Amino acid sequence: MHELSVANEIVKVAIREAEKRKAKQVKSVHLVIGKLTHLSKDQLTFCYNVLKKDTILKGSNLVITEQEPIVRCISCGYLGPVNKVSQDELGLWAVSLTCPKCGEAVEIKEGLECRIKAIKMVVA
Amino acid sequence: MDSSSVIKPEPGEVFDVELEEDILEANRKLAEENAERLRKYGVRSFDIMGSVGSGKTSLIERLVEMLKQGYRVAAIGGDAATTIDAERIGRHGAKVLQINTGKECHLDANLVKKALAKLDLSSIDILFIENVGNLICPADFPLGCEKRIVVISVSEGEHMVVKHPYIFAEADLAVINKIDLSTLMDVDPSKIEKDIHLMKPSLKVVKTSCKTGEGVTDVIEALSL
Repeated sequence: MHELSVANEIVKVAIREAEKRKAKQVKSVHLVIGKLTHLSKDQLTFCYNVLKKDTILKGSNLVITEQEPIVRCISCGYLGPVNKVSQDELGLWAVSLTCPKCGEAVEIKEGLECRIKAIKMVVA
Repeated sequence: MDSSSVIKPEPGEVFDVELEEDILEANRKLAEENAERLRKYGVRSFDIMGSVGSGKTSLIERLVEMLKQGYRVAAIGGDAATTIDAERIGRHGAKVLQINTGKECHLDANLVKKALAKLDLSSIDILFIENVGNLICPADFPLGCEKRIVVISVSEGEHMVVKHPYIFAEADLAVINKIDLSTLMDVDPSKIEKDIHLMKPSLKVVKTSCKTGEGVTDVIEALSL
């Protein structure tokens, strides 16, 4: 639901960078979003495409890569994918902030990002 | 640096600008500033999140009522529109400030920063910030509070946790409210508690009825107030 304001920030940053380099055109904006954020790829792309009109970004694409969650165990030092618990009754799964090795609490190292990694632009 | 050592693109060349700029990080930095400001004035602050109608305002009303003898309590209310909640809380003797987000589905650190500038923090001991009713978006936007509390109620059904897991990952305390309705709703609060602990075993869970007042002292205890 907050994709519009996030997309607006992305557009602002991309325009700022393009202006800084006196770009003629922006080809693509490359974004990494963590799977533990509530950002939806489709909605972000939709909002980006609405906002880019009438700007230097008009011919550009938003390219989104999703980052899998990586956690670190505070007790045993495990570093790797997040634990998942299945809800058999519902046929769903949810992430669990427990260590898959020892069951203790983990901290999130990756999976909360919404990072503009690169912008491809044609310079004058 | 010698300008000749800077690599510049040729005209017409596609230039790949590496940026590593995080959009959510900007909010997190502002949240840190808010936290710093609140710490400086010794204000204990709590972000109350939860869905529409889960009992966030009722919980704050109960907390204000019980805490106002020993503390100077203030509250910031976040809603898309109206000052209804701030007025409700204000009637219990707390200083209140309403943020209207318009169309935004959550409070963010910048809105809270503006609100903090309007409050005399030296005359506040405890600050409750009631987030916009929503179990999704507020999770991505920390405000800088000491603790984040998520309020759910049995009237929302028994699957709220598995349907909205990430907000529980962000929370420091979960409140299961309206337990006086559990028989009527045929929802077992212990089942909800079990789901929370599957998701995050370290998360404290308190069961309340803000209608009868049951469990509210447990919330106060869980917040070390």
